[in-house]
Amino acid sequence: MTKPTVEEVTAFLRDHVSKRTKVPAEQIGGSTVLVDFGLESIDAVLISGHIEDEFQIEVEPSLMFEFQTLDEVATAVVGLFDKP
Amino acid sequence: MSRFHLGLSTSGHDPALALVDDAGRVCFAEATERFIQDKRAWGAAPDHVGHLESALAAIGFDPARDELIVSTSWARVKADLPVSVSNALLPGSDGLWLRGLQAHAQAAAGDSLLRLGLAETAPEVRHFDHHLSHAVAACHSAPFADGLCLVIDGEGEVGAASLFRLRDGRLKRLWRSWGPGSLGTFYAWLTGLCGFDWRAGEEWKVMGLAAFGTPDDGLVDALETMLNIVDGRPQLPEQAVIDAVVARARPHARTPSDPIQRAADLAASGQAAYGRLVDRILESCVALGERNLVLSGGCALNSSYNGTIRGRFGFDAVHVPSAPADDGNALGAALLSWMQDHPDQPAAVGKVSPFLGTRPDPRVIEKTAANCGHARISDCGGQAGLEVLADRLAAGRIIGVMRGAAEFGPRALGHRSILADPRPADMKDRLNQRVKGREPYRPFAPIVPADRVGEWFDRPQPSPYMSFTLPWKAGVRDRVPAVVHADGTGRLQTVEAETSPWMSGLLAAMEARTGVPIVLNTSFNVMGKPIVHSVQDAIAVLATTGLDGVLLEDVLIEKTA
Repeated sequence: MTKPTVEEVTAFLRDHVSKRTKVPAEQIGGSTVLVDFGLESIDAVLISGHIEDEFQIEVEPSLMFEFQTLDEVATAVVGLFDKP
Repeated sequence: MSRFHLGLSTSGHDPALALVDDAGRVCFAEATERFIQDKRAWGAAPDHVGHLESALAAIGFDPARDELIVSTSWARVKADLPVSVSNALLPGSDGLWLRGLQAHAQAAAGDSLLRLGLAETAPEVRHFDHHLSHAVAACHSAPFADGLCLVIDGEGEVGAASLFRLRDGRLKRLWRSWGPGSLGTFYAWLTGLCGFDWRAGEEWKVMGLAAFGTPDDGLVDALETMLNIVDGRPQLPEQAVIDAVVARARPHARTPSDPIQRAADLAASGQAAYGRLVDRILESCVALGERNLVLSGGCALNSSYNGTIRGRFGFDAVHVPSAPADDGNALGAALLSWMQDHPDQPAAVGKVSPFLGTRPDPRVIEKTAANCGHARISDCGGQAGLEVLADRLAAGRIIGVMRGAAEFGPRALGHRSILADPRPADMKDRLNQRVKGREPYRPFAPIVPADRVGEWFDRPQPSPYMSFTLPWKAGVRDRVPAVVHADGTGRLQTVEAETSPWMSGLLAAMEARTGVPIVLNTSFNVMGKPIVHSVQDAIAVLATTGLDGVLLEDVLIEKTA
């Protein structure tokens, strides 16, 4: 899998957060704290799985808890591609 | 100086330890329950001081010269994540309890080195991914170097299933599931619904009981919806679906005080639903084009299902290790620790002996023989000894055998076994009533020469660790009724003369007397207790049950009345 852009990961995450929280995607900003949309811990776990499958990279189980916003999570995911 | 890798199973249940030397050889592996004689050893330290001390003595570890590297079978502490415990299938209290046990086991791993004078401060501990530990341990004993390795269990680091590709002895994860969808939890829930206790490991009882029931198609359909299988990954459905399944199954449920048979159709339906769900996982693997499958994780103990896999989904060979559940992860952690030190060397794969545990103490055997004034003592070594043992078994005697290193894993494979003649129709009841003390519906298993499986079973295949249940051929079932289950199947162990000369010799001696190259084999324990560990444990079973004798290495001790 080639390294995605932050924008690609953000769009992917926005779609999944929207599906799980029922909040329209256009209302989910990159800098808003995810729990403020009503994202629950089980949602964060399942979205982590979708990230792994979509971008073919293993992420830490704590990823969605360490980073609070869409932009932060997306940046962290892209950063994984730079690790050896 | 030699470096040894001490792998610890740190799930909090089924703790175990394993030792791998600097050359990558497995020197020792044993579940803690054996040493402390407490089934499943909930909450016990996998590096239990006495057990670790005896294991190190067994491998000749010299504290003055050798070094010990500690590793665990989990990368993380589950409780560190702010994720609510799922109560969808099992009570949330069970989940919280498990999390606490795992956290403690992870935190305390290696502390016993302080007590044993092997460390002056808490030792550095290596932590490895749970499903990777399962996979590495399982592939280590696989008779092939390429294929797929599917791990399915109750719970892993992030989910309850992982798929790996094995290529030239190296593993790469293809995917893992996330979230609480779990085949192991499904079966634990089913176990409770049947009136049994998953915490006591009573999933066995569901599998045994299933043979007496008939799957109810509508119920199977409903139970199957308890999990979604999405691209191979088990996931929980919406809560409304779960509620509907629970309501559909409730009328079939049995309380512990109800007659066992009440749950037979439920057990059969649940087992069928489990089979359909795992089938769907394996169907998702077909496109990967692999011919060999390694199956591990606690669900790989479902021998009834395992026996149906070969020949389907493109798999010509299926391997299940002797210890696929969490005890086996001690071995995985130790091997991963060794691999970390040897990144350029692939881990060995091939036929690894399952006899990796404690040996009976010869001094205690000697003292036992000298002090058994009321018993008959015979030297049972060599071919003559096999003839004596076969004489006793063919005469209907029930003999406990404790020879060589103990098995690693839950199955007795002839080193800690109770043996009997499979021909008498009443042998099953005699064993249950006089020795084992367990329910009459549960089956006993046969040991069969590997090269003659096809004479006795349909769908013949190797089963060196009793991992596969197969149908007996219709025409032979009445020749060995004590080892034929209610549905005409048997959970066989196959033995090869090259790797198991003693047992192969015994089977030949039995055939010479009985016309049947088969013995009945059940684990050397009584209900509710682990398999015997010490010579004293074996003698206690002899003294307190209807066992007729015990074979301690080559010393046969028999009751005279």
